[in-house]
Amino acid sequence: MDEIDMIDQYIDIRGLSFWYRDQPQPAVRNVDLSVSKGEFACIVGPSGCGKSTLLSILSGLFTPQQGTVVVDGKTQFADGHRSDTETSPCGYMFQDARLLPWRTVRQNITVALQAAGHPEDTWEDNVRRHLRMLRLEGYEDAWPLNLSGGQRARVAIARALAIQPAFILMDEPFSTLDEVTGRFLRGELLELWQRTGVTIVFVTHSIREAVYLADHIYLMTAGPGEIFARESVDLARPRRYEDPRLTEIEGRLIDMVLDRWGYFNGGEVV
Amino acid sequence: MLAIEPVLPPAPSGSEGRLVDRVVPSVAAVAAALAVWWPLTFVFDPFLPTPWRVVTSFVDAFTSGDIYEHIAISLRRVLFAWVVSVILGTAIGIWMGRSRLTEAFLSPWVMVGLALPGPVIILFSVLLIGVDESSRLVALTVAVTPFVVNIVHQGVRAVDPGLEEMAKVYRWSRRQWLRELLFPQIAAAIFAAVRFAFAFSWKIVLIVEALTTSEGVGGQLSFFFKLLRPDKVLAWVFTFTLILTLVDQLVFRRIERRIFAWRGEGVE
Repeated sequence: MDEIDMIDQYIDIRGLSFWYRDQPQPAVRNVDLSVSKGEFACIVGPSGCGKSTLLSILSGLFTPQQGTVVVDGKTQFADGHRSDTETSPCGYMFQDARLLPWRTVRQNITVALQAAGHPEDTWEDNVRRHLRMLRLEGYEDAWPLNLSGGQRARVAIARALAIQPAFILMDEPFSTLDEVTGRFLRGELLELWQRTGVTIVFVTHSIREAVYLADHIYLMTAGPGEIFARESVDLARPRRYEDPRLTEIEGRLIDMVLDRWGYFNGGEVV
Repeated sequence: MLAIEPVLPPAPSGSEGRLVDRVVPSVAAVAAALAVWWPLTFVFDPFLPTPWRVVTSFVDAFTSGDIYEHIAISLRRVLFAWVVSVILGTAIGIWMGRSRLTEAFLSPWVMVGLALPGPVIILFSVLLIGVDESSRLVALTVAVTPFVVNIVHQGVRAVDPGLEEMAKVYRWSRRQWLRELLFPQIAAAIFAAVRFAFAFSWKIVLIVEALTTSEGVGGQLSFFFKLLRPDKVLAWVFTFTLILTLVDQLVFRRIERRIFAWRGEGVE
């Protein structure tokens, strides 16, 4: 991975390992990962390979026992220690929207803004701008329970973008949506990513989804997770799912992971 | 009618139905009760008074004036036990729900508190403190608090771990976590506890008063029981039921609708 060292890296992970308490094997082992600023990175691995663990470390929830994590030149973790420097929160999208059902769409976003230290007089404008971006204008005072799954996912994206995070982490955010809504939102996400220039680390088990979205794809082994390959997708956007070049890259990646993942679940690689 | 069971308040449905649909069953229920009551007064004469005699006793009590004093005395005791047990029980319940150690330590105490019959608590309170107002208040509070603890504890345990994780990732302050996340999730439990504690305090205060004094609604109940005046006893019971129902319908129902507006007509 020498060529990566040459580039100025935005998120830089070296030799990272993490053990859950009482587990004989590490969840992730000796992970090296470098993401440049403004990159759309996809981490692809089978279920239980430690993808979510990796995101939890990047978001600051877990402290890894080994390795270093550097974001924008600032060390977050080094050899089992968390650095004292106060960092701004990252944006995060979970598999479900994780909105407070007892707060309106607006309030769900302003709570995050307040926690991220945005001054109160900027909230109103910020919320309006991001809801417009996600075509949710007029839904400011709606209750999340009255929204569709796709609308809730869009509120979660708006929340992640609104705090103006250093980067956004996404943990299979579209896996629970129906196929058409999912495709639609992927397209919207790419548009927003291009407009805002935000760095995104996107975790998925779907190679097709990764090939459609990513600049670079990081392939993980089955648990304990290690990153064993970094593949670039040099296709101009907007991409089409039916593009033969996309299908060809997908096929190549599937060949790469077949023996590594130890099984092939046709239903999962969509 | 009054919900005595510690059930969580149901999602208020958008429409309460037509007025007729609510009134007709209530009237039918009262009519049915009278239809059972009246014939029984002949069987149990003179111990079961006729509805009419109860109504006149009821009106008598309210016009003679001293009923207000007794209600005020009972109400004061109820308010004390209610407020103290809700504050104490909520605090302990939240603490138990958030700390494994506290939970392990306090669970047996709560279990005993739940199982202990009201009269036993009253007797021991009187034995230890003596027959005065403080022993009544202590007995009431001790009887009600474990139920509040139990309801709130269950509510805290049901808090959604996914939302907790979200709050951590977005670096919420402790205050935000309390206000935006914990409280709204346990609001239903706390509300159920508040409602239950109020109704339960009333029930227990009657026993406490009946056993230890002639003042207050319970004291009057036992006083008229000893005088073999079942019409008076029933009049007092009606007074008591009326107060409970009014508070439940006028106060708690309204608050409930306000707090849980977000449940709206939610569609999953």
